Amino acid sequence: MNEQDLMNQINEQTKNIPIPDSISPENMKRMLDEYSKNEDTHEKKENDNITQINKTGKRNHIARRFATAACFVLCITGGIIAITASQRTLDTTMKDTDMMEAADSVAADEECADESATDDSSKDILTEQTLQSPSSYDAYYETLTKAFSEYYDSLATVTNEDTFYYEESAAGSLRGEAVARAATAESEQKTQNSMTDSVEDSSATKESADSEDFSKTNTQEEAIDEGDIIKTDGRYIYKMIQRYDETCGYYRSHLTITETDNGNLRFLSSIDLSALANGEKDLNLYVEEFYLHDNYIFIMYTNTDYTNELSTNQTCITIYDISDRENPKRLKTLTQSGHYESSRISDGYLYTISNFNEANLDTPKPYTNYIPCINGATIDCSDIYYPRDILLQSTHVVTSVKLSHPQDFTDAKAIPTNGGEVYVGDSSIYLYTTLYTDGTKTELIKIGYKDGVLTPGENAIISGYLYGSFALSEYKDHLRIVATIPANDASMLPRPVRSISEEDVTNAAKKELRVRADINVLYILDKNMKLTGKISGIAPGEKIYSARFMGDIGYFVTFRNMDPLFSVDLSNPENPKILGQLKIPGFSNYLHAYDDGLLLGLGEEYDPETMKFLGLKLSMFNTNDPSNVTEQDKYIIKNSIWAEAQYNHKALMIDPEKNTFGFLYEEQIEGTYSYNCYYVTYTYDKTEGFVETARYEISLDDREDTGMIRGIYIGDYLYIATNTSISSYPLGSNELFSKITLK
Amino acid sequence: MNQEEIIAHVLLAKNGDSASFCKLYELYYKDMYRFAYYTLGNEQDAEDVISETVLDAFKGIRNLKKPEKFKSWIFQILSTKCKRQIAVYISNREHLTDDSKTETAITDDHLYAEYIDVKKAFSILNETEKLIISLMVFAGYNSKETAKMLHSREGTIRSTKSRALSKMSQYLKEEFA
Repeated sequence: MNEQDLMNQINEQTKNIPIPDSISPENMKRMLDEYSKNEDTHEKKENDNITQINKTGKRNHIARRFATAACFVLCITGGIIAITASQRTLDTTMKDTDMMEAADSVAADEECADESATDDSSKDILTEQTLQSPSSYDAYYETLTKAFSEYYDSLATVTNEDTFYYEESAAGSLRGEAVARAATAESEQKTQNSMTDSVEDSSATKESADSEDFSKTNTQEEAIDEGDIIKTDGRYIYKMIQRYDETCGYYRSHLTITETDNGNLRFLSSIDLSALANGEKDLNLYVEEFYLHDNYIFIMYTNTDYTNELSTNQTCITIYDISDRENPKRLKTLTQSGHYESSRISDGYLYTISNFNEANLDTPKPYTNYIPCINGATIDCSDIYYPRDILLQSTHVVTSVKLSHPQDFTDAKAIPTNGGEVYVGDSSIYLYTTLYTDGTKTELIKIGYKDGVLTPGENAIISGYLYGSFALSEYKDHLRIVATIPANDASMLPRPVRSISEEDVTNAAKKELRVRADINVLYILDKNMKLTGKISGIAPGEKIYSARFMGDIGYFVTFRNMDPLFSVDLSNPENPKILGQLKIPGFSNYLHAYDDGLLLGLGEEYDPETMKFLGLKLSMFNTNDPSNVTEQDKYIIKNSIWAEAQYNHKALMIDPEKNTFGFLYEEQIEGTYSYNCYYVTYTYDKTEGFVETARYEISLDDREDTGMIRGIYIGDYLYIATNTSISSYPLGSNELFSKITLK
Repeated sequence: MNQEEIIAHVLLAKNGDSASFCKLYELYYKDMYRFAYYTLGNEQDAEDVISETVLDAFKGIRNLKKPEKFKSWIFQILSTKCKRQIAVYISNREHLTDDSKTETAITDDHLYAEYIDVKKAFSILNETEKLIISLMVFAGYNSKETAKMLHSREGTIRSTKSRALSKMSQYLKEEFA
């Protein structure tokens, strides 16, 4: 079952839980009034009693005391049943009316429903807007506060339901303005300046890419590196570990360096990353991941300062020189406002995206309340790019650092957004956010990059949501997207709706009743984010579970009770075509190109009749003829229930050339609710199909934090690194060769 | 209640208006109770942490600078209290039998089967898994916000969440198909 569906189901099934009367708003009011009275009359004693009870951590009976005082003469156990019964009746009636209302609207829409399911995507809005820069911080402050007050005014007068649906509302107001020309001109200048010295770098990186026989982080785009908790250069293993420190109440992270030599292991050093807080105890570090580039390590983390009430976040990049691996030297820390969102390395530059969402518009000064900082100084006005209809929710800060000279940022831009996630293609960074305010939509913001220079460009809004960054693909100046437009009761919304009022949710839910089934759409946008082509109405009633684009061909999987694997011809951006679909039971969460026109799928198998879950499944699709894809082999992992690699591509070790891949999965011991955890490696043979080459049981201790476990290979050895140790095995063998403890 | 009204009530509550505070509380108390009940697995402790939370929040609302963040602020207080309670459980390991009597009494009545199923499914999770699922389902936090709250990596949260959900999904399917 889809994770979100299960979360919705849990949410639904627990809605009618009986609430003890002692905590009802009325009784709480009594408690608070009593408290205030005591405060006022300085009845210190009573008060001290309350706090004392709290401090000793014993049961606090304040609420129940007030409940009894309010004449609810019920003994505790009896009371629960009596109250629950009445609560239950109340809830059922409410539910019934809700359902009747819903049923009414469905009936009203019934006739046109099926048409609208396909028709709907013709209403996808697709607008682009240009961004502008403020003339001064004060002018920017004015714009922001004005937008806020207008927004609240509009909230107070929302009544006309009919203007709610797709076409108008957002689209109308998103009319573009001229690009911030000055800033663009400046960027161009920077481009020219930096072009000259970047040439030597790229040749240097190419050289080291030859004759490599070790695994790399499994990334979405081949040429673009992603941060992870483990990296290797073929000789050393760099592994991040984290342990919960009970004395201070947070995780302590270390970066360890281990030397390998044909399976032999030698522990060299460990950097205590919590030391990066410089001993300030109110600073908390959340170390996310790191990069390795020649003799540099780039640690990516968020530093949260709890001393002020907003608990402001700062994203930090700390660079270590590891020329001497036994004594890594800290070189420099670069900072940008906001929590760490994501980052990539492309063509010799590290691009880091953070999200600053603690802006406070109470006063025009200090500027740092709403202007993000780069290395402690507010970012220049000309580097801020805001949309015309700005409503400041958060600001994304995007920076670049030249890897060979990481002394300072090369460029930095700030773009106010609605929050969001990140996809990075060969020439642009895309920030994408799901908007729920009126129908489910996705806002995409494009930031071009070249040699470290960032150029914020056009935006677009499309109907539907994206299942993850793999739903996006940039190729030859075009952006290809697969999106799901969800069917419409509120419980089917792809994520819990937050930060908009309940009324908005119900309205949206009612409106969306027009769309009766999920539908999927493929969009192709050109470099100006204008629509060139699309396919709508794909697989009604199903959602997208995974996608993979490979040059001119795209593959994606939708699912209800069978898994159609669609193949799409994208060679003509104006006219994408579905080439074929293969229906098999179950679905794949992750697709990866294997050798010789093969496509590997990792997913789940279901009995198509009973929908009973049968375990994790490996599929090998033959895509040599994209219009006639076949499932050449499949393999169901017995008793398996979950693998992190289904959802996190970095947890998969894969090398099609070496014909090996491996991942961690959890197994349910038959007939019990206890679990085992294994790291397992496979190879694929055309005649024998999938062959398990080795499996390693993960110790109980390490299972606590499976997200920290990775497997990598160097030469003929497999190394399994956890939070506590690294073990080496000859590839394909279960026999432990060597093991060291990490600390 | 729309955003504007919420802000208005927060301002009133800051001036000590308990009625406004309780209006706000009314919006979220069901979710707060579910959160506490499923995280702690115990009805009485859930009641207690909620009344403590209400009292602390009322006392502290003067310091809330961003009125529109009322919900996440009160959940932050609640989850801290739950974490503290969990620490108490871990040190005594006594709560396991605590709620069993009332629970069987209720299970007999099939009307309540659904939410009890969910509770049983919660019982196969470890404490961190419970907390993460509760924060994401009942409080509506995403993985990034959850990570921030629990001082952990987002990757860890995502991984723990999906592991916990798959355990629950198996359990619900097998026991209550």
